[in-house]
Order: sequence, then structure tokens, then C-alpha cells
Amino acid sequence: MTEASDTGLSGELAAYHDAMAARIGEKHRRHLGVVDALLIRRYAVAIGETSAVHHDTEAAKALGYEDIIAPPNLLSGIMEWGAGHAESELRPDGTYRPGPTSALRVMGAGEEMELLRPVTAGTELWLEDEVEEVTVKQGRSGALIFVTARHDFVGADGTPYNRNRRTVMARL
Amino acid sequence: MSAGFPKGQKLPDLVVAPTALQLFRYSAVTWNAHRVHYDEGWAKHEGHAGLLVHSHLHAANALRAVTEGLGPDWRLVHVSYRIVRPSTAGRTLRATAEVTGVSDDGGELELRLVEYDDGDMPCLEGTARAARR
Repeated sequence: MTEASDTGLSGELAAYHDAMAARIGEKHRRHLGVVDALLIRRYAVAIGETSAVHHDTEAAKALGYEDIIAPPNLLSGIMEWGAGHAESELRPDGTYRPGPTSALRVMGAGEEMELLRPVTAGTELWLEDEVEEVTVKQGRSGALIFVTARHDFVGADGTPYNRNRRTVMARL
Repeated sequence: MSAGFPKGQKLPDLVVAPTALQLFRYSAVTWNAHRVHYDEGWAKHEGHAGLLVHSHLHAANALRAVTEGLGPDWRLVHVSYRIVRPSTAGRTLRATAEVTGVSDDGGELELRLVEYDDGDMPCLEGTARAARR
């Protein structure tokens, strides 16, 4: 783990870096709920996916699935699986982040996904996650912080569905 | 069994033009309240040219190019990508996929993914591996 004092960061960048770095190695597990057919169909509509395997149960069954299946990155695309935070708890940019980091700008930078089995409508999932790495790079406009977290989506008995590593970039 | 895909084969491009409406609905279905995706004033305040396309929507486009190009006899098993350039609503995105490797038995494919933003500027670069179902 790299302390902010080693990175030359200050202010909100340092606060964000330290908050994320302090979470490295902390493992969390939580119940996400059931991925139902409505969520799958809505996600498919939102991305413009018209393939019948995501919309039509009989078409999915004809292909050997028990029901319609989720598009490949539905699990990773969901930003919040629970009710979410009250508006008063959100940062001005609409995101929820710990610490005094109101001025930071964040965006997705990339992802690695292992798609271990199809996610069929009715699948109940748990999420096991952990911050794995926090790095600092110098961009043209200043310091960039990259936070990489592992997200394992598993069934009740630990059956793995997706194993993802997602990187988010933060900057002032 | 469907026909295989030889090394070097390019799958059909997927051309899309994300709208403000699409970005709002993607934010809604993923319960993503980040204002850069639906509040143009805020997005510009953060220095973006317009409403920012979600990184996962870029990925969904790239993956659709693969799944639609390969057809239902194949399934994605591994994907890796980087967002190398942000894009905004109203621009045309073209997702491309090319077979870069085939296993000896033809049952597994490696693919290179590039999604271009309004021409030839890559905004997503990545790889995928697909297996015959």
C-alpha cells in the first residue's frame, strides 16, 4: 500500500487515495438479490440489445437455457444493487464516495471480466469484493488515481458467475 | 454445429449513436446517479464536451459486436478492455471485432475489440475470448 505522503498528493486527491488505500485487503460480502427477467429485459433495452435470448423465454429455452439470460456485462454495469443513498448523502456530482472528495471527477477506466456461467432470470446472487490496488499516475492535467477492485458474483453455494476486476480513475 | 471463424476474420461492425435518452435510461436501469451522464451542464462543468457515455455502455457495444457477430452457438468467457478516450451523446460509435486466434480444435476464439468514436479515434480497446457452447 502506498501512503499519500509517498505520492506527493495533497488535499482531496490525498484524502481519496488514503481512503481507498485503507480498504486494500478488506473483503466484503453482501446479498444482491435476484436477477429477475424484468431487470434483464430492461438492461437489454437500455443497451439496444434485441437478441431474443435476452427477451423471450421460449427462444432462450430453445437454445438450452432455463430462461432468458443477462447480457454479458449486466452484473458489472449495475452501479447500485440496493436502495442506494439518500440524495443528501450524495456528492454534488451525484456519486457516493467516502471522505472530503467533493471536487474529484471520477470515471470508469476499464475492466477485466471472467464470464464463468450464464446468468439466467431468477438467479440469486451475492457479491464478494475487495479493493486490490491504488496507483497514482501523472496525466497532462495533473495526478490521476486508479483504483482497481475485484468483484466476484456468486450464488448461494458459492458457485461463481462473474469474476471482474474494475478500474476507476479519479482526478481533480 | 455452426461454421468456425478463421483467424483474421472481421465480424460485422456495430454502429450506434448514443442519445441523451439512452444515457438516461442506462443510468436508470443501473441505478447510477452520476450527473455527467444525464446533466449536460454538470458534464460541461467537469470539462466534458457533452453527456458522457458510460464506460459500461461502451463495453456493452463492444460485446454486442462479438455476440451478434458470432451468433448463439458461441458464448463469451473472458473480456478485458480499457477506455482510452471518453465519448459523448450525439457522436457515432463503431464497435469492431476481429478474430486474432483460434484454438487447435476450433472451439475457442480470441478476438481484438476496438470501438471508434466518430471516425478512426479509438475510445475502447480490448480483447475477448469466446467458446463454442
